Amino acid sequence: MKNAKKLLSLGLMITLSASLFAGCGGDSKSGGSGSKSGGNTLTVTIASEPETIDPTLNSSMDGATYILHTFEGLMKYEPTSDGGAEAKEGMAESYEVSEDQKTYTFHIREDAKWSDGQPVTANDFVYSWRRLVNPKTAADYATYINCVENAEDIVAGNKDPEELGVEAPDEKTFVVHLVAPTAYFVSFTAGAQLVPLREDIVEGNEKWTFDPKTYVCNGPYKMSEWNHDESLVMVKNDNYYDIDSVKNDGITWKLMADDNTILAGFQGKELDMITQVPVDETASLLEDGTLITVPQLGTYCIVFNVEKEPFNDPKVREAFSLAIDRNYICEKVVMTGVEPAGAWVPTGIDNGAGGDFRKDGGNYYSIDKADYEANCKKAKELLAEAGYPDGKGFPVIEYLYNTMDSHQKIYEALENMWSSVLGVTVTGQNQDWNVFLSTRETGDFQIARHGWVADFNDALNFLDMYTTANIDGNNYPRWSNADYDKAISDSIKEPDPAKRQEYLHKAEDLLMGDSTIAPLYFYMDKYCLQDGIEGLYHTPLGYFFLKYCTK
Amino acid sequence: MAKYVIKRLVVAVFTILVIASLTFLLMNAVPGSPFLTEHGVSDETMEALEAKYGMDKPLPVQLKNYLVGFVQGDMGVSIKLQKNRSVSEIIFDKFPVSVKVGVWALIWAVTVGIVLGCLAAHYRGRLLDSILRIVATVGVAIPGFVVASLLLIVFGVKLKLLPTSGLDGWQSYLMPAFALGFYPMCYIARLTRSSMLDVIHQDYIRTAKAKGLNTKKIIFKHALRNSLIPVVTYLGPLIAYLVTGGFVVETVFAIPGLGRYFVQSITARDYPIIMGTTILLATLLVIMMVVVDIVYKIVDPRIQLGKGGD
Repeated sequence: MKNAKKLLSLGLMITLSASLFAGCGGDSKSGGSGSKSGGNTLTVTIASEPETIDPTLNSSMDGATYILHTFEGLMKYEPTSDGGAEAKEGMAESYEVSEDQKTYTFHIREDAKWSDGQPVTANDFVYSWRRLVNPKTAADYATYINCVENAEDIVAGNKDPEELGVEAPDEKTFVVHLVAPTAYFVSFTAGAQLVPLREDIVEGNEKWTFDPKTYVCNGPYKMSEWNHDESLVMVKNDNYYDIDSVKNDGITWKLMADDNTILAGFQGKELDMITQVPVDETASLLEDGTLITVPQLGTYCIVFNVEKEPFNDPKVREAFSLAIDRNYICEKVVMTGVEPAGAWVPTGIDNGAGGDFRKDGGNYYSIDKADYEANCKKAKELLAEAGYPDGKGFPVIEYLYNTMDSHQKIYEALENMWSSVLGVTVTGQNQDWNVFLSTRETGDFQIARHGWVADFNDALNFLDMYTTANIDGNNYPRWSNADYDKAISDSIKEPDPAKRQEYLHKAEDLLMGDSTIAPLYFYMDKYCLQDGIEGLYHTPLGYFFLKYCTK
Repeated sequence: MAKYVIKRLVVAVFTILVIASLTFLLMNAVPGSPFLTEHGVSDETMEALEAKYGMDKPLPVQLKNYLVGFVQGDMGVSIKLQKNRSVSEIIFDKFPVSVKVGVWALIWAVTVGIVLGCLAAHYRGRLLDSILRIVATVGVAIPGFVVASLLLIVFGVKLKLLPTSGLDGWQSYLMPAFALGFYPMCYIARLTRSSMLDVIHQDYIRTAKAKGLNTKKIIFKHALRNSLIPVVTYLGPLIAYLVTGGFVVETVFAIPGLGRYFVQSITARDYPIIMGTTILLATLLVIMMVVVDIVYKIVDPRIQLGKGGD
């Protein structure tokens, strides 16, 4: 018995020391304030722990959403009557454009202040923009402002960041010099990468984002707590110039990863809004109206490696594209209300004249359900013309995708369509995300999945990736066409908006005419919102805004 | 004994160094880079990033730099999961959370597991034994995420008895600790049962019975001690695994513990976090093995430490 007691006491010792240890750091985390539903604060979940909330370094949708609630750029996203959003004057009270449309002068509002009370100055923008292109910062979005003078050279390390085409002639005037007239430039400055930053706070302190004291911001909210993997708590920023328009006292962003847990939290009314639901529940949630979809500027597509046989033959590529039943994929496989894609640039992209780029351009093949059989017939003919009647003699093809249920389901549907319509054999190869990215970028595949969500609302953002210069970048089909390259560079230089659109349409005609890629569907964003909450709005770039939400 | 422990600890430090070096080389051998994105990162940016995190140097130099830094208490910063946050800070922040859930899981797994195992052995072949055997087999066979999701749906969503996420108050520990400890509980029950069955057929138990001792005393005093050896062997690594957090359980119940870092650091190629979490787990495992050896001696004084294989 004596020894058993010893064992017991040893066990207790381990347990106690462990729980003592646990007491050290854990308790301060739990019971964070304002994390309960109720009052005039909102509790929402849009993602798990963000990689970063540093505006310059961020490249994710969730990170940008947090940044756009705490920071504000020259322009800001404001709601339109249809629940969408448009760029309106933010930190800039007004702006002027030079005659040649290459110089923009922004006037920063007098009452623009940082959360610590200091005034927002033009220098804060100069610092932030230079930091973005500085190769030492190594930001994912370093090339985002290639339209600004010298930006490209600075990113490539050929010029100093100080040579960037931005200047601050006085405290409240910010001037930008562009390489060429850029139609979308003004709305572009509402982006999360281009918000101002305080040099005295950020410079030399890589951990400035982790502490609410040093996360000095200039937007409607400021961070009050960041409990990693648990919650990001924001409260109203009293120094914000338009604070009276903010309809709630704060937002608690619960950081969660599991779709089932997130939905359980919503159904248990612990969460006011969520944007992720389990795939299996999507259809029923859509049906009973819990899940709402809104347009998003993005396209899911597959890319053919045009450097490798048999996809170096445009006829083969077109046959593969036509054999896809896009309606089936949207309605039976993806089931989140997405729209079949008849082209690469999605519906909703501005044409610069109040219209829609897609409506102007139309579809490159029919996506009408009734026409699918005709499409299949044509696909068979094309494959026969390419030398593979009924798929005879066609090599076994490998389809590359990154490991994820939703991508696998799409692959399975495609495999079925191609083998039954074209008589070819397709095998699937899934790789973990990082491996997938490098395999696809180095062109070590035959067919691969791809998806793109707009960084800014302009067709150029979808088209400039397929230039010859970008073959080792995200021109995944490794496609090269001199006319295409010229159309893209012409569109960048063209000051006349209508002509510019023509160039962009020409580029898309070339891309789609060669069946370089096979778009499947245009993305939709989705969310669930508790009854009684109003004022939510969303930009088709994928950001939700909660500042006008009331409970 | 002291000499033995010191010898084991020296070997332990060496073991951890070897594990750290192997992990370092293996993770660098896996294809993919933490810096790749869908935006097609430019070569210049890629070079700048690699230079920033010291990944532009040859591997042996990187390994040397890491180990030198590690000895000085610098485990580097996260390059992906929590960009620029130091790894030691992440571990000191997250590890205690996992320990709290892990310890409760451990307590329930060990106490319930051993008691059930003893009962099953005592009533072997009877109804209670069959029931317990079914429970234990099912428990070992069901994957953790099923147990966790079932609990979540039944107690969190349908009955609304327990909170579905986070760690506020004792109620929120119940489901995660149960889910985390369920598999080990079943395993311990099975282990105890079979080793108890071995023991109660031995002569000294028969002697005890012949002396007229009551069953409870025979099982829990005389038989249990000897049948605990396999359980103790299993407990060593189990403790290390439980206190470092279960990825699935922590994800399902949205517990801000260390578990996810073990898994996500690898998929994200967040090298400094892979190193930090691996070294932590390796250290705990090695320590637990030394502890297990000492506990053997307490449970069974006939065992000679330092003699024979360890």
